[in-house]
Amino acid sequence: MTEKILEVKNMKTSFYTHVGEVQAVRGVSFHLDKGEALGIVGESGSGKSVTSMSVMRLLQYPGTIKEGEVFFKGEDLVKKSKAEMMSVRGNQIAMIFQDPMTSLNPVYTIGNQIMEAVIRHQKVSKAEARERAIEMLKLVGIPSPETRVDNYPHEFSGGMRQRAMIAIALSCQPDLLIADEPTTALDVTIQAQILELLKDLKKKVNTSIILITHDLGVVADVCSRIIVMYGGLIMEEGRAEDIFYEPLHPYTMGLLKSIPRLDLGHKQRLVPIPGSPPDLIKPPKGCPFAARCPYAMKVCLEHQPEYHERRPGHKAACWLYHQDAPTWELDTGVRRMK
Amino acid sequence: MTDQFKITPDLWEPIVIEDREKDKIVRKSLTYWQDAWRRLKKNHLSMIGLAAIFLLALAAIVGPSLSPYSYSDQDLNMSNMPPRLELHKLEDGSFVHVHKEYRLYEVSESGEILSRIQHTKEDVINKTREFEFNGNEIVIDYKLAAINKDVPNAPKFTLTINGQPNETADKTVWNKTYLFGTDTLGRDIFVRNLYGARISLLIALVATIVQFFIGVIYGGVSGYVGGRVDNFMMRVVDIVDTIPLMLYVILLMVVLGAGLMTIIIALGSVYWVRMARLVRGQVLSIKENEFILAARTLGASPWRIMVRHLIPNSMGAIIVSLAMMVPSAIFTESFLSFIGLGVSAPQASWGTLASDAMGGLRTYAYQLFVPSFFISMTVLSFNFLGDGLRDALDPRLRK
Amino acid sequence: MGKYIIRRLISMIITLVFVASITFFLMHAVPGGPFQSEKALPEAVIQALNEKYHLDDPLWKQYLDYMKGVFTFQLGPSFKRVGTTVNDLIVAGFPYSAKLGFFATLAIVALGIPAGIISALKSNKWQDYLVTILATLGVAVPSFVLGALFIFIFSSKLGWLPSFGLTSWKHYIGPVIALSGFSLAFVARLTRSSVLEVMQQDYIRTARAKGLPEIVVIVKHALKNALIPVVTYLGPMIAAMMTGSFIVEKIFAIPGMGKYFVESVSSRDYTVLMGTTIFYAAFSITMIFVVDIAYGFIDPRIKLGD
Repeated sequence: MTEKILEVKNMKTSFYTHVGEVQAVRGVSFHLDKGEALGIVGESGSGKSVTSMSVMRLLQYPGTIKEGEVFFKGEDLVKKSKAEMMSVRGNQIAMIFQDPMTSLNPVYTIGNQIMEAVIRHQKVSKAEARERAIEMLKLVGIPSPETRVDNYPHEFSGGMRQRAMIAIALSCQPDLLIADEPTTALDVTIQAQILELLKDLKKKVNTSIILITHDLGVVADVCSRIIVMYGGLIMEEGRAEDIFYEPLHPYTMGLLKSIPRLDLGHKQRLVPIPGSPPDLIKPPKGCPFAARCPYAMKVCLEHQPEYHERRPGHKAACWLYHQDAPTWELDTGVRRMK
Repeated sequence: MTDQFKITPDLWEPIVIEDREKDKIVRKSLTYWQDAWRRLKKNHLSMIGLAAIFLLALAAIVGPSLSPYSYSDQDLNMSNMPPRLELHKLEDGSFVHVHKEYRLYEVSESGEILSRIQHTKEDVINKTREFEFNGNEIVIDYKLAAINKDVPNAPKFTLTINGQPNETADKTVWNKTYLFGTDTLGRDIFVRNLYGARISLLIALVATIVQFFIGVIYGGVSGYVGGRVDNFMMRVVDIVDTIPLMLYVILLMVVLGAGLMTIIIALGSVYWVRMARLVRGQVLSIKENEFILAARTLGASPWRIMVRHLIPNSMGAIIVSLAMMVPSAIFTESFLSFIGLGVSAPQASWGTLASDAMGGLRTYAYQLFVPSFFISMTVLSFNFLGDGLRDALDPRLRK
Repeated sequence: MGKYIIRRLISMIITLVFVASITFFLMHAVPGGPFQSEKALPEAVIQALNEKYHLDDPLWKQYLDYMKGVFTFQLGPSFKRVGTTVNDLIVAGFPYSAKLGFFATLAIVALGIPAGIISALKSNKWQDYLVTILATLGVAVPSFVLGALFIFIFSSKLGWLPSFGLTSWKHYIGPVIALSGFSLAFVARLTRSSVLEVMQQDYIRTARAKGLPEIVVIVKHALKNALIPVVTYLGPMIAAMMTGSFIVEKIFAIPGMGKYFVESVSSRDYTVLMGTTIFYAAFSITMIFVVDIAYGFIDPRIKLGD
């Protein structure tokens, strides 16, 4: 039985702003096995970034974790003190962010920014930390690391900066790496390089990875399991093959239909999902996707759907799969009552 | 989820179109300026500042004609009257006020100055003055003034009415004859400050307008033409800007002689460099936009491009800058007055009024505080307005 | 860096020549000459004086002589204080002005910057309100009002502190407050908005994600970035304080350069006016140069020499 390195149970996170409580995450549960790569997919506002920030306890005022537990290596992170969390962050759980140019401090060298994490968590000397920094730069594929370690962020190209961010993140050999939209700000070719790097590092260093993105294409390559989030809740969860070849939830289907694909004939069109994400200050009481779902029924507006498990590890929160629900032929849109 | 509800068959009905939330156009679209004005209105501090400026301008324009005094009317009998009068009551119900220069005045109970009471006898050696008023004998003994010269808040005189010493004032009232008191020549301070408002605001506004025109043209041309010309023009600006601009203004004033017109000319012809830098920066960044290329392709002349496209698009930053240049001009003008380069008497600006008041600061502090208050209020109002404008006109903050 | 310094030095010299020239020609454009306003002197005396001071030389010659003098620091005699040269006045007055300016700068840096930082970190709490209100008022009050208020309250009414001269440490308080007031308020506001903006940046989030304690995040990561705009303000700030010193020295009767400058304006002592102006200009140019070099050290993105 593979060990679970992270287990999130019914986490709810809200931002208490002056216009009201913004319920960004409304009850999310998932787990991550050791050595696994999990993808969290969703559009802006789905709650995916807030979920990862909550796991790291990096939320700034006015956001707080309202409810829930986050078990990391058996211990509930939600209950830990600020000081305890500081030794977890950067050390056991590391995070990389979307825009490497703004995520690196422009007035310090890359080496300095790697070394400070190492020195703080592993109590080594400056010389040893510097050695480690050079090692890390080599690991992530930056040429001439001995000189580059003294460069400033603005002297690196976009792709190299993201590699440097990864180097910083992995410098203390964390058990879990959370990558929040790591490739969104990069060119497509660089994107592919970074994803290759992540796969490579996962093998070499055996870090568990959570990869957060809005782009299904990105997770296809790297992740073995995928979670689809919408409106602060998980819509569907399953292995990569399940999600791509047998999507259950209409939202997932919509996402797949809107990706440009090489095998679409030239007569077939991209189908965007009409409408916009729900208001999280007054979240809908039913399924958050109901307003945009082509198969929505009255029950979808009234009640949040239960999870239906198609097979172990593949489930979706959708009323379509309730035993009393009418069947739809989902491709043709024909519907037959039971 | 263990919900107790029952799913009735009707709940399996598909949703009709009307039940869904469609992509509503949530609000009507506004132009850049409408949106900016809307945002500005929401900023309460800015609105207060704007209102204050209006009121001030109104008072400056209309105020002096409403006052019974003109700014140059002198009455030496009434010099240095404070805005608050301490009154001593006489037996017959009338009140007198003892002036800091040991003059005596009859004042009504509500604060109107009725007349000056001349002393009947003055004894310079014993430092006393005697007055006769309505049958009362009043003696002011100011020996204490020399003894208590450096002791703050100590009494400087003793007042004896009909033989009885009268220590403390019976009443303190606002001066109803001269709202803010008078200056050393007996001129009404209120009307002088309103008049000073005219002068100071006029100087600030006209100088700012001059700076605007010179700066916009210089900066616009420099930014638009670019290249070596731009380099050279900016080099000139750099050289000028390296030293405190005030020095140039002072030199100019010495050459041109002090006066209203020369102050405006001096201010306008030195501080335009700020505006030029700003406009050039704006033009440089807007120049690269495609609509400029489109205009050029259509054959628009450089002048037309500048006036119709570049300048209007820079107006946001220009307006904010103008709002901040006015208080700066007011400060500079007051500094000049302090050095002796202000408008000449009997004209008054807030700066000259403040400067004049310095001599009597210890005794007649109000003479300084009135113009200072006006200066600060005006500067604050423009600062608030400018801050609000900056937030309102920033296109990135459009919601 | 070396090439940059040389280029700057050349540019500084050009600026100085420019300023000195403008000053020279402006002063010589004043109708009448320096002896005209005196109680009407007889023609012969005026003639003799003009000769003595070479005022009857052709303009270009006077200009060259003067420029030579500027660069050899011989700024000529004072016309109104016979027997004193401009140099004497500068040498006598500068130490006072410099001391005043130094302590004012110290006050600004030691009070204004921390105030701005605290105000930003305790955003919307009482510390923020206090600093913001004081700073907002501080930029609206002219320095002569501050000085006069100070004298009025602390000298006249309370008698705690002296109101003229610079002989004891107590004498410094009033003038320093009056001189630094505006800039202190401005720096506090600038620091506050800069820190607020920096704290929103992504690299702060990265620093926290690395598990660094908040104190390190603020002091190491935020401050260095936040202070960059403040350093750029130092140049104009020095200029503002120089001109502010005229007023403050006059009000507090401090025998600094500003006092001589102001006097030369009212007495139309042209050589003193020219000389002190050029000196102020030279000082300002130098300080801005120093600030630019310092700026190059703080922000590695700036490549001096571009």
